[in-house]
Amino acid sequence: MDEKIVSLFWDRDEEAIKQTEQVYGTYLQKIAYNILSDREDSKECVNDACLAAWRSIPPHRPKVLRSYLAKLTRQIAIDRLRNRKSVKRKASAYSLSLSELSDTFSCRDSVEEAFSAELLRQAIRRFLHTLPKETQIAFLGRYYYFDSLKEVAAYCGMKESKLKSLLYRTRQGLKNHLIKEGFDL
Amino acid sequence: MNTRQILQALDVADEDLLQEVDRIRCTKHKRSSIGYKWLAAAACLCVLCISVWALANSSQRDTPLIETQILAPSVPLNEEPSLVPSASFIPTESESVLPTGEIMLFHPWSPFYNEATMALDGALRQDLFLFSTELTKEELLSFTPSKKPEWMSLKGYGVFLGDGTLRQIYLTASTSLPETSVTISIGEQEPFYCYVLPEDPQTSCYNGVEYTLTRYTAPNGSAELFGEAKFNGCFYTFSLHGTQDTLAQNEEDFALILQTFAESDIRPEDLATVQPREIPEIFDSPMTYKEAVDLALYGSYFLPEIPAGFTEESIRHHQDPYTAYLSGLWTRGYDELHWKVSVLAEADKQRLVHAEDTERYDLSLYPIPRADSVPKELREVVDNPIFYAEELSPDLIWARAYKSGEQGDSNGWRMTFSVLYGDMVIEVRSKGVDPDWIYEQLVSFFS
Repeated sequence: MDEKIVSLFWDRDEEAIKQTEQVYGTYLQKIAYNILSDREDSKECVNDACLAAWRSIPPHRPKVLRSYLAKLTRQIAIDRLRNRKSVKRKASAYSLSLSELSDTFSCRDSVEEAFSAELLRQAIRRFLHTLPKETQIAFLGRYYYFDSLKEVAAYCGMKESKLKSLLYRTRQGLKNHLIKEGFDL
Repeated sequence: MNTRQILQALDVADEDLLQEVDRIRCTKHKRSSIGYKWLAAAACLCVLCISVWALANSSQRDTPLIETQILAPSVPLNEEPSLVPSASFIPTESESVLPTGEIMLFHPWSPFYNEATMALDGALRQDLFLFSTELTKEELLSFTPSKKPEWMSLKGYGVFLGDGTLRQIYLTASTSLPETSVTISIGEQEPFYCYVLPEDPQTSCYNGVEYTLTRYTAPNGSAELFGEAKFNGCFYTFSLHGTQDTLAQNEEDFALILQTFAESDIRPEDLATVQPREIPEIFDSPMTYKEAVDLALYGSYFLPEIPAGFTEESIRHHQDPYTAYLSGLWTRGYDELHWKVSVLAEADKQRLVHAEDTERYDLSLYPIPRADSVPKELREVVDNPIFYAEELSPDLIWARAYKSGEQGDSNGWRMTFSVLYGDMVIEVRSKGVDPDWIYEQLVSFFS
């Protein structure tokens, strides 16, 4: 299915967008809603993601379209949230995830330190590979897909209290790992 | 560095890992919090991902509600059957309130995927945290309603957490059509579903019990029926996979099975009596390279030498009721080498290939996109063929090598294949590793 839709993108056939929305629309909307907590914004986000896919395929040729679209949607939603002029933000799962991480890592929102984003990404990637599967699932479910604690606990088959401890220890582990890799936190 | 950058940096997580996380989320995900009241807390029922459009609010609904008549059963129950009044109207688009009363409504719904497939056993098999055992005759009797249609027979198994706690009972009930069955789950907690519902699901009442019933008909001619309800303190789900040709009979049988369980006396205490006969050992343990090489059974076939410039990411020894393996991952930027050692499983045997069977492994025969060029019956083996170790040659390895056009990823050769040494299988997945170097590693086990 993925390869067929990607081929439509490559052929510049607008059926690609229609099929993308049909097959992945609800899935992507959930990802966006986890960040934005607003249905209309989420729908617009999904539209933007489809447009971003149209613009980037070709030259990209993602092997797994679903993951590619998820990444686009996630990024667009995060950017949209940051650009929101409204002071009041709903306590979206994204905001809650952000505040959890802020407890562990210094939240220097207003001061951008000069560092290599690529080095950070590679360091985090290495860290993820050291984790047991259960922890990988919990960590990425919470901080990549922004599922609520309740949702993550449910599909990881553990109580919320245990999940909170697990995530706390993992955040500490990530912090120590980044310090060891030379990042100034 | 700020926390947003850390969140954004998670984008770099392995595709395979993200997909696996997504699969587990999807397999066991609670319903979305978008407009939802219900909270799920139990194990997954299936890998169907659907979306139910708000019938009251959506302007995109194509199909009006269609009521289903609950007929008196054509095959008598053990006792006198009860007649159900038939429905007599089809609500219009403008009606937003569903009728309640002595009728059961099947609501049409759209799937999350175009082709919905049921893989209950498959989903459970791949789950790290659950195992299942077949119910004994005595246990099955506890979940067999005393009044049931003559054509209905049951098989079942229990699904347990790793510590032996029962999560749910799954029953397979035969119907009046030999090739069709209904899968039933029974649990004390609300089950998980692999779908995201943007609006509150619609329910209807029957005999004083609230049901949610949905129906999906796919372009390929298949039809799914799905129902959920709570009887006597137990949460039930019912699902049937049929065809559009048999839909009418399917709905009749489905409704009768629901009625049968609604009138049964199965209670939460019955669930507590189901125990696993044996709790399997489940673990996923990190290891050092030395521990891995020394590990009995697997270590002799572990990666003999780390490729130059690569760093060890993880080495794990994994075991669950369905699979056991020793695996390692090494990386260099976006380049990767996965090396996995396991015992040949029965299901693997269909991927065994001989050197002369080029159509089963030679990627040069199949241009990208391979979803179109590889014949359907060969897809699984072309994706990951298992060579016989004694037939290995550089040509065989190079037949598996290709380069991808994906920007922002490794530019090196990519390969996926496996090799059989006696009963042991080594699976190799690589990006940016010299195929000749991999060949040298694989033949070193002969020296």
